[in-house]
Amino acid sequence: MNIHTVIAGAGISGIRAAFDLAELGHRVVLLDKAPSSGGILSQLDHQFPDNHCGMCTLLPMIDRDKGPQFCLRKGIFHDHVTFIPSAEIVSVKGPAGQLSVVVEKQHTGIDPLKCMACGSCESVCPVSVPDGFNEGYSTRKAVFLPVPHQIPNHRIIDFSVCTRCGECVKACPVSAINLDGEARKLEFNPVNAVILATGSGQYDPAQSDLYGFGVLPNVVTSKGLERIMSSSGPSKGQLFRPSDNKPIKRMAFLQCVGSRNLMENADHCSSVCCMFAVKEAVMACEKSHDDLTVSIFYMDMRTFGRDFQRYKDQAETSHGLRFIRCRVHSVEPCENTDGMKISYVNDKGMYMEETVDLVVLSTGKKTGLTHPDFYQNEGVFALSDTFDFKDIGESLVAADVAAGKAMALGGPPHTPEQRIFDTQRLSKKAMPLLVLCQCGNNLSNDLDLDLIESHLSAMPGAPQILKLEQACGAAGFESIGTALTSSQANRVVIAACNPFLFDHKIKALARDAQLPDGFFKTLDMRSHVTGKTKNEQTQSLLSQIKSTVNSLNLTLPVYREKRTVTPSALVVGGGPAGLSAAFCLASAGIDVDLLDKESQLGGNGIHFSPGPEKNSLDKLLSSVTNHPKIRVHPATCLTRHQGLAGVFTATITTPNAVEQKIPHGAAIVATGGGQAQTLDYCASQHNGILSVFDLAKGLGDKTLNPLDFSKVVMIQCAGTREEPRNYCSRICCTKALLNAIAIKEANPSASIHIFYRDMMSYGESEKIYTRARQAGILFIPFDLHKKPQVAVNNQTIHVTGFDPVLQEDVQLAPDLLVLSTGIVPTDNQIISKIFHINTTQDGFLKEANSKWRPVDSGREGIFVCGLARAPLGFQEAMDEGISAAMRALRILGRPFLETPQVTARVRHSLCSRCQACIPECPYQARYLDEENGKIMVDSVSCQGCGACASLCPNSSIMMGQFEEKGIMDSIEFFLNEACP
Amino acid sequence: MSEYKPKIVALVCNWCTYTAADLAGTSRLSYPAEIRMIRLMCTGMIDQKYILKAFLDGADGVFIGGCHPGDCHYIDGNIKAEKRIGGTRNLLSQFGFEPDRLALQWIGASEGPEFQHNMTAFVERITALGPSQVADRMIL
Repeated sequence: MNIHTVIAGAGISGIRAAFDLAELGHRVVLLDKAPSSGGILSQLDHQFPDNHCGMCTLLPMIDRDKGPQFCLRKGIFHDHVTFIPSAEIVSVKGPAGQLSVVVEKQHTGIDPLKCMACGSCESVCPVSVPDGFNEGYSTRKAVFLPVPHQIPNHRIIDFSVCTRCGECVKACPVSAINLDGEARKLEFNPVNAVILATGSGQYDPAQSDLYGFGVLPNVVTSKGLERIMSSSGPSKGQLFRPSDNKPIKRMAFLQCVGSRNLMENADHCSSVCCMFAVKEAVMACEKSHDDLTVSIFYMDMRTFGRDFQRYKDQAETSHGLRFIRCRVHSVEPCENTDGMKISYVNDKGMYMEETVDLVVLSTGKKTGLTHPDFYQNEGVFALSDTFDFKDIGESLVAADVAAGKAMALGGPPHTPEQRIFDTQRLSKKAMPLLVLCQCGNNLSNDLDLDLIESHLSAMPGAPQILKLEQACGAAGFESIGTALTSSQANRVVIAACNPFLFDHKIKALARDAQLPDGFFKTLDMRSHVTGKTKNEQTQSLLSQIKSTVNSLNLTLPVYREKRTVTPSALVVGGGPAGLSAAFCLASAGIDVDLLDKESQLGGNGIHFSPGPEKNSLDKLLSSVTNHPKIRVHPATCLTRHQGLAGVFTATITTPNAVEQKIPHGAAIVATGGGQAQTLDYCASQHNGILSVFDLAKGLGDKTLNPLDFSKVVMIQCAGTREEPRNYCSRICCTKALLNAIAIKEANPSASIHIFYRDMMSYGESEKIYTRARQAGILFIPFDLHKKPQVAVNNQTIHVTGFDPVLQEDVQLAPDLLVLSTGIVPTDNQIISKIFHINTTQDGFLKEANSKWRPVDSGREGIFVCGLARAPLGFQEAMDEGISAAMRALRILGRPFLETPQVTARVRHSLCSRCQACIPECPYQARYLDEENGKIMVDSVSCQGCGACASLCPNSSIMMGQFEEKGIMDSIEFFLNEACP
Repeated sequence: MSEYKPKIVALVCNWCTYTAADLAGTSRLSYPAEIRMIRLMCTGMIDQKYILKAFLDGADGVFIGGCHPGDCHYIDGNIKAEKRIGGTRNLLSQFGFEPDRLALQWIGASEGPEFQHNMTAFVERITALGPSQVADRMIL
């Protein structure tokens, strides 16, 4: 099978791009330089702004059976994705669409095909070095598990520290270790595209002598603290000081280490460190039951994402975090105590000292990274801002954009695999085959397999037993195949270790035997056998086998609904997000109906002044209006939206009040937003008071002349970032800075004061902030309790604000006052009702999960993007549009949608139509079919959680492999087991 | 009572607690042999029937392990479970049985040591409570 795309970097973006393409039916090779997948996220257990994990939410939802349903932190398992650890691309040659990609796979010393992950090698290894996974706060051997919770859990050898003493070779029971191998070259040819998702490393604070990192043991990086607090970390989740394992009472976070520092040549903001610090501070407080004082020394708290501001406020009030605005001067060891002294000058200009137990450096991104030389090749796509730090949601959007470019290079259309089933064999009563792996006779020492055999033969529906020395090897699978052909067995239980490693082999067995995948079950003999004595372990395994065999015997073939997909999309809203979504879909060959309530497409973009943003919007507009696959419906309203993912129908009302029905498979909502209005700061009382957006528009279209203004005052966060609109609108700060620079450049004598709370010039826009300061624009910070006061007297604007540096009020009489009022959504009240999707408390359309499903609505088949979802910039909106289109293509790119194995179904004869299950479904997959009077399950949206099944008073819901009877029987087996 | 070994059924969610159990297994963190674990997709799938069935069939304790609130793969299945299990605990105490025989714990995927600790502590707790009377009295 041809490989469509090779993706370098198996961090979260790489994984997302791989799943994107895999869900379109393409084969993908995903590789990583590191010996494990997950990138930085393999080290982080919790994410802001809710301290949750949720990485598994990233797994494919439509075709769930393409990989085992399992925690994604364990590893990447998908039929169409091949993960190669410890590998790098060395060359890419040839034209796009027919690339030849050479990958170098490092020699890791251990043959994964032989290794049984017993760990004997590690126990004899004499080397001890700091463990990188725990940021050096624990030690590891030269032969080690790179990430403890990942599978495959074969150890690897770090040859840079290995002494080649050969002890591990002697200790290995299966001769899997070879100390003398070399790196292997693998060639993939032809490949359509290459995606670079290699990411950025973290700035190493040891490279400068700032703050004593590397010298003082209790100065740690934010990632180091994350490991110290992790359950899989050095102190098993306890918060201790690294130097002496004493509890921590006072902790300080120093922000912007390696970022926002011209002396370090780091004129950028690393975007995520602020929230990262707040999250860690909250986690630390929770771990120490708030018996901890945390101070965060910051310059600007950049809380510009969904719910970030409220999260920070909540942390401040409920955990008493101290936020201190300043750069810390130095960190020194204390003379008499074992703490560290932090010295700084506070915002009142006073020299301060504080003693703390732990200093956390919020280190930003690494700088100076460059793309490999094949980056320029056609068909090679790097994620936008590959080397930037980004929030998870934004990384996923960037991955979708890159996957979209790779997809555009073509490839075979999605042809779902046609499976043939041996109906004769299936229709017979359940005949299970049990494969017992003896793991090279290793397990016979711990388990009495003969006893298991004799006990099983007595159980009803007894399985046929096949004992194998090693099931996981090629020979093992061949014997299982032969046993299946020669017998009438129609269900298979494989008791072995690490069953996830064999998922694809088991699927191949199922295919050959013409049986459904769900009729094959694996049982992990190593991890889930409890007990210390042989007797206990045998008993534990025996009851597990009985329960597995029994539940499999009860499993019936699933009726797989095939829903034919309407291969067209509906895009509501013709602003930047909607336009780019429509264009992306149309380029993939999907018919698009693009609706806009205005007669002119472009959304907020129609006000753009000449420049790169306008150019790119104009280009997009002409591509969309001229695209044969896109039908534009201007001045049209959506009135109704019905149906299920893949088979929706929309009712629209055209300008001449004609109703029209549009069938479509997926809908993208990009209804946009606009600037908020405020009554604060005398906003409407003087024509010299403008909003930041109106000023930008005026300067752009030359209706406002910078020479007319000699004194300008700007006030940021006017009516926003405080309740009830307690969110940051992301773009106002940068817009204000650009406005101020434009005025200052045209009129150098103008004085410009900007009152701000936190300058949200995240990422590369930090450069604009630097430029503004260099241009002589004055910045005055203010707190919510000391806002600047504005009065209009005799046609003059008077602004009074408190200057913390002078420690006194400053009085200004500007001829122009500019308010940054923020962004609000426009039509969400109506739109959310039409689509039955939720809104946030601020009225934005609510995504299913702001981290892991940033453009999915709560309903499958409906996607949200652009300003209607959240405030964002022009390029961000365009990217979100593409992201939404890529998500929609998971549905539209298939000829039909098929029911996965574990899906709820209703036994209508038992259902009393009480409808209690309808609100219980977290995916809105249940509905009452009024015509037939039946409760129905949308089998595509249903994810098989079983919430409905546990609620149903009549047990009318069937859950595939998690049938009520099977679970009840298992309980019985476990409790009535006889001691062998 | 030194020979008394409680019978314990653990109903665990596939995404978090089962992964933690897996990690405990692969990290060779042994937990008590008295525990029999049943993997379900989500704790939200747990019907009260399963818990009562276990007690009626002679279980001395039922342990339910799910994802931390907010971590649920199915958005809020664990929250639904929490409500339901609270109800079942009330039911147990209304009939004069110790509600502590039924425990609900959140154990995240990377919390192998947490899993081991919770399991050991639960077995100790149930051992201290002694054999359950639910099955004998059969009044539930």
